[in-house]
Amino acid sequence: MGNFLEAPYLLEAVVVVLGLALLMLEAFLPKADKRLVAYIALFGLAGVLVASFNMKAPENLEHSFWSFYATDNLAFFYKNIAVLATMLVIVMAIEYTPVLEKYVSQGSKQGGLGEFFCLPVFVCAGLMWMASAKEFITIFVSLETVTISFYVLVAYMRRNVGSLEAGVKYLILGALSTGFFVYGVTWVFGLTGETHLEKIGIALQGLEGSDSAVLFAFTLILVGLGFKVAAVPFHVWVPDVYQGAPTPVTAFLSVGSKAAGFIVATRILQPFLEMERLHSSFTTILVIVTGATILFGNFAAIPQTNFKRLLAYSSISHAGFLLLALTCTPDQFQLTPGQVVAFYLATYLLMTMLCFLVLTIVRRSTESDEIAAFSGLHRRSPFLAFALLIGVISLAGVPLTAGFLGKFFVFTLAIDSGRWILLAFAVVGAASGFYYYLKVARAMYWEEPTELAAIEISPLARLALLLLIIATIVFGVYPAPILGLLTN
Amino acid sequence: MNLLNYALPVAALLPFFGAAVVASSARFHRAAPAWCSALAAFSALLVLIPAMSGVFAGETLIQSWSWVPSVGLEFAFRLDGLSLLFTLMILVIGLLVTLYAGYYLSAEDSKARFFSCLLLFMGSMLGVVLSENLLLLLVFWELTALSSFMLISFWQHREDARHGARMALAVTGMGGLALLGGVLLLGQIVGSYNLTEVLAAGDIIRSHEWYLPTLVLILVGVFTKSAQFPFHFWLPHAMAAPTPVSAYLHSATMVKAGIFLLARFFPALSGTSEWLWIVSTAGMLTLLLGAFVALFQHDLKGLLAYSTISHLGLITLLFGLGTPLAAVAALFHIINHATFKASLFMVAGIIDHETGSRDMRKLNGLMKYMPHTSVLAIIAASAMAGVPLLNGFLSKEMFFDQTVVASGASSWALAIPVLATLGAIFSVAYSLRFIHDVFFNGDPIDLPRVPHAPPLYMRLPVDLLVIVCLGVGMLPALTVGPLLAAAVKATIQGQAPDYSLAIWHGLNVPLLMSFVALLGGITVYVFRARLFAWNDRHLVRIDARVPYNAVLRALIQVATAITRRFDRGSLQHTLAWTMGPAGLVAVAGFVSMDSPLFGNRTLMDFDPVALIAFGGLMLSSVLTVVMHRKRMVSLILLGVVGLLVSLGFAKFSAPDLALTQLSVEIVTVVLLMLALFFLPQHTSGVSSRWRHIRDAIWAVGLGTGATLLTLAVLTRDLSPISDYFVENSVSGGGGTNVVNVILVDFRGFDTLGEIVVLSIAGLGIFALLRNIHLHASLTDMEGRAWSTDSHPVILQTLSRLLFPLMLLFAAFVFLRGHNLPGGGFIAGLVAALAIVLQYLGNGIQWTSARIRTDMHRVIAAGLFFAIATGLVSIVLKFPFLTSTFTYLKWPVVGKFEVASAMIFDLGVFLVVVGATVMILVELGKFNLLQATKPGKHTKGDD
Repeated sequence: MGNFLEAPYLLEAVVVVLGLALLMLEAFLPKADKRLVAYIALFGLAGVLVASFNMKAPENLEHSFWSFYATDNLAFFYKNIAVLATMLVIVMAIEYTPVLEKYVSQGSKQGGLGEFFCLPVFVCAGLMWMASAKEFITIFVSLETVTISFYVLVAYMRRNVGSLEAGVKYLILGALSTGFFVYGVTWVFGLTGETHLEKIGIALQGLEGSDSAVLFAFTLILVGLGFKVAAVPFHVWVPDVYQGAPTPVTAFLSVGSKAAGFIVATRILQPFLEMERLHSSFTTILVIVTGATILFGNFAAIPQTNFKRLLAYSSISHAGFLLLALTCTPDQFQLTPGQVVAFYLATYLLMTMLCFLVLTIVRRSTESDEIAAFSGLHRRSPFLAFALLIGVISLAGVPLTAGFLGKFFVFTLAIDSGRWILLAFAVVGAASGFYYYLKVARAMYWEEPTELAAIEISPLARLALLLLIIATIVFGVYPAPILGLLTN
Repeated sequence: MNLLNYALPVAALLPFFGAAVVASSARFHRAAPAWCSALAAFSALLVLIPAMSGVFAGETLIQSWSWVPSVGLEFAFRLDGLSLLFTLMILVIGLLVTLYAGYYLSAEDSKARFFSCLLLFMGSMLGVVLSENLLLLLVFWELTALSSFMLISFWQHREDARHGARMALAVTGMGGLALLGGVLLLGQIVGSYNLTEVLAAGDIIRSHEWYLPTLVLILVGVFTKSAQFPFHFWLPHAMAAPTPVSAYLHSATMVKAGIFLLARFFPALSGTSEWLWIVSTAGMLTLLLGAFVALFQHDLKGLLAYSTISHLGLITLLFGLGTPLAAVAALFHIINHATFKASLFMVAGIIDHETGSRDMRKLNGLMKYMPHTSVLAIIAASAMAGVPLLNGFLSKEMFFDQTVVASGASSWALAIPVLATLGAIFSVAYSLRFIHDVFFNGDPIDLPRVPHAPPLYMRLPVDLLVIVCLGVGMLPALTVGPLLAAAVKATIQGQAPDYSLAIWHGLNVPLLMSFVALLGGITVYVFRARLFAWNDRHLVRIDARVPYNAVLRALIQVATAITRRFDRGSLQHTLAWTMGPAGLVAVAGFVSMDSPLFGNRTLMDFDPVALIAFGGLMLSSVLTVVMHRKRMVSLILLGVVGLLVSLGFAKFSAPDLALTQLSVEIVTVVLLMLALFFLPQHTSGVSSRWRHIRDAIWAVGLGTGATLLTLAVLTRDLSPISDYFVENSVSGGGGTNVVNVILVDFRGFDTLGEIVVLSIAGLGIFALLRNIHLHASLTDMEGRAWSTDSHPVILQTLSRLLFPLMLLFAAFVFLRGHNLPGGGFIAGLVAALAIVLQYLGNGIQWTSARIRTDMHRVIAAGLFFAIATGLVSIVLKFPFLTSTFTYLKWPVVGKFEVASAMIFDLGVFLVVVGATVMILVELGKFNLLQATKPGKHTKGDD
């Protein structure tokens, strides 16, 4: 049999099958505890994660299939990110069950919860597929697999007005951005006659004239991508949708959707940026967007009083740092922008998930997402407070946490490519990050709690938190394993 | 394996390890944290002892391990004279502070927390001074900021402690970022982050175009940390910390970290006029400002804080002068300042502890109550003032000497020794005030506690430090000589200059300056009353905290304003921000067009039918918008639009697309019909006229733009993608219907994705609608009840007749799909319509009773078929979804082609049927409930 079991697309296929199996299970065992579905999903995804390390890129890439399916390190790396993020989201969803029951089931115990545990698995398949997509149609289809699942997930708490509003906004703006993206793709196709990114790159090199058409196409695609990664000015949906969506979904949007956007951006921008004639124009556009994103994301985060909204703006500001890496053309630095982005996203996954997991647990017991709800958390649950502390200091970029190294790589890259103004913005942004992230730490350790009852944490969540804390610190000190996955 | 090969990292990390132990040691014994903490510091010292002899001989010990080689980060440590000097200060004073703090802290303070923070800080400081790799140094640098934050805010319940800690963190944190930038630049210039290389590359650095930004960024880091003007203001506010913390952080360690960096980078960065100007100006200003303000402080610790600022300024100024001898003086003063200032802070703590106050207006005549302590304080304060025979005098003489040397540069430079003497005058004055006000000058004025002598162990550290002051003051060459020599050699990285540590250098200008300073200081102190009054009238209001707070407030205001501007939660607003930039780009594109907008391909001729059709299309589109309040009418018009579009497809030889469009159109209209039932029947006109106009402009602009772009494309020659598929569809996929072959064969993988999406959408809608209660009005807009005859007989009969026909048609469309217009997707839509028609014509109950198949299973089966096709090809060792085909001769039908892709197409068919029927029926069920049981809420499914 040999190599067919090692074919990387098998991972996605297995995830889809897992999702279907879960749906079936949910349909045939209506009386069972819906969390069973979640546990099986976790188990299955863990299997996929382990298996993904045994996958190898096939040696013979002649078949046309491989022309639109990438099997490089980045692809595998993003697949791992997708699976990990999904697993954590499912853990969160299990913690979130009581809230969901309140806004979904109404009366019937756990009614309508099953799909909430199944849909992330399909999103995961889409994300994994997107990690390998290097052809516009494939990219588009996988992007939509993810986005449409998100439409449903965001609006899932249908008895909650906030969730519904978020769903509507996400749907309308998402559809709009998809429209831009597709329009951009058709322009590229019209210009080059190709949908394969590699061939587009070659065709663009040989293209004569029609500079404004190329720029137009580039910008349209950038609008679509900007929406996915939450870049200013296409970020406007983020705060409302993040706040309204069920917390696990927000976490998924924040990590999964962003990772997806960036792998696509990494792949799509490359052929454009390699086009020497227009390189400076493309870079200028990117630099403007990046600068606005860094400044706005960080500034707007400062006055926030709601933790979920704060994380929404934080997500925008991190998008800014990631975009900064993408604008760079390194000279001496040993990591490519794509690798830096991937590394940053891996660390971003750890710390963001840490924050959201704590938020989910706190939300369940305090029924509030406000920062005030975290007051005196260290007295109610020192473990949760410590976990969140690690999460926020890592987001702020304190040394010896994973978040620092991500920022550090980006800064080095920026210096290496001479992006001085953006670097200055990034430094200002990082500085204000200290302010608003530590606001949460201040509430936890300095403010008096409104009540003293200890907060319960399930063993599964405790394990997840513990692993995340350890990973955040260990990779902050010793990033070699992550870098090894990316470079070797 | 020699353990000594790990001495440096072990020493630097021991305190961190100790911090973890200390944090959990309090449960064993109350004094355990202090002991553990002392043990950790002591072991770190022991570990380093074997390495010291080499360092005194002038060697540099480097121990390094690879860490993250791709960015130049190494786990590398370095012990040379300079690091040794600082290491000894950190550890020895750290030990004394530990001893002191053990008695200083009260019972309700958490000792475990205090000592673990203290150890964290100690470890970070050791890391800073022992790092060989600059990135490693940065990491420890940031950790000092964080751990000092925790120490300063140790008394969290106190507002001033929190504010002080936050300000210290904000200022030094910002400096840390600047330093990060500077170090990154330095690394880029040198090509390495290792100090050995950086220090050897001084010439390259100084002549590099990035020298100035690098220098400025590094200096911002240094100045913020060492409280140099204009970043000095955080230090007095950090005095809210417990006194042991101040004694440690603000005499020997934290504030000296910046100075350490100045010394470290001395060979690499100094020697330029930029260095001279920036560093010495900042130093001089700080020296004067600190000394002047210190005199007017009433708080003991405030006085010491400003005095610290002043002395740090002195050291900075010395480094700024840039000569090797100035560096010697600076290093010497670092040692001296650390000893006398630490002991003075401890004395202040003792006084606070034993009297309950630090206000010099109340503290008087303490000599009577605590004579021993008072003597110690007087000696230390005299050292601070620069009285002969004490250590402060020696380094101050060297300082004066250097200012005199520097004054030779130009006539302006003459100001340097003059200003230095002025600073020294105030230094003497405030030292005198410290001595006279506190220990003499009458009796205490209503102190909270009756003063008494401190416990022995609290005083012991002060004893030891004062002995050092005296020892160094009288026998400098014997006591600090070797250490200083090693430090000087490491700092200068070359031949050490000739210097003498003797007490007596003969009658010279520096001695005269000292004399003037002593006399002047005494004079100032004697006439202080007037000076104080003047200060209270004019200067007291000047506070660097005011601009700091103003900047912070302004930042927050700007942030709030920005947020308010963007973050309004309004969808239109959001849309405008997304569309706006896109529109802007489009306009820019049209304006800066580099070739003619239209190409020169000849367009097709108009024919009247097409003209009429397109006229109809435009008309109905416009009407759909205009009539949107009349739901039914606009829905019908929307249908017309769809129909015309599909006719358009048919005309331009795309029958397949036309068929698809047609069936999709029908399903959409039915779906909208069902959904409209629940929406409010009346759309209120909320939009203002202005909004209408604005939206109209948007719409017209976008429409025009799109039209122009389309024309631009249509008038150019292009090679369509379809050529490839048309050529390969029979040979590669065995079918002549190119669209279908693309869907199920060439791009099968994408189609699989699409049907997964479709299934998810179906399931999602199902999940969202289940259990939901919608309230549809029972009457129409004019108040007339809906017709009760929801299933007219004619429709019923016709639908039942049509059902088999439609299914047959679906089968036909499906089977011919591979070669002629049709295929799984269209067939699926047709079949779904057939089923939906039954629901519409006969009612949900009737139909549900007859069509019992659960649509979930249909969808699942569809996905199963599709994936199975792919998996089969894997098993046969082809890539996923590789297809094959063959031709069969069937009786009657004739030659018939069977492709494996057909099974895949069957999957598509099933998913389409399942999802479509599920969505429509689920919506339809509400109608049923509303119609049959008005007013009652019933569960939707089951």
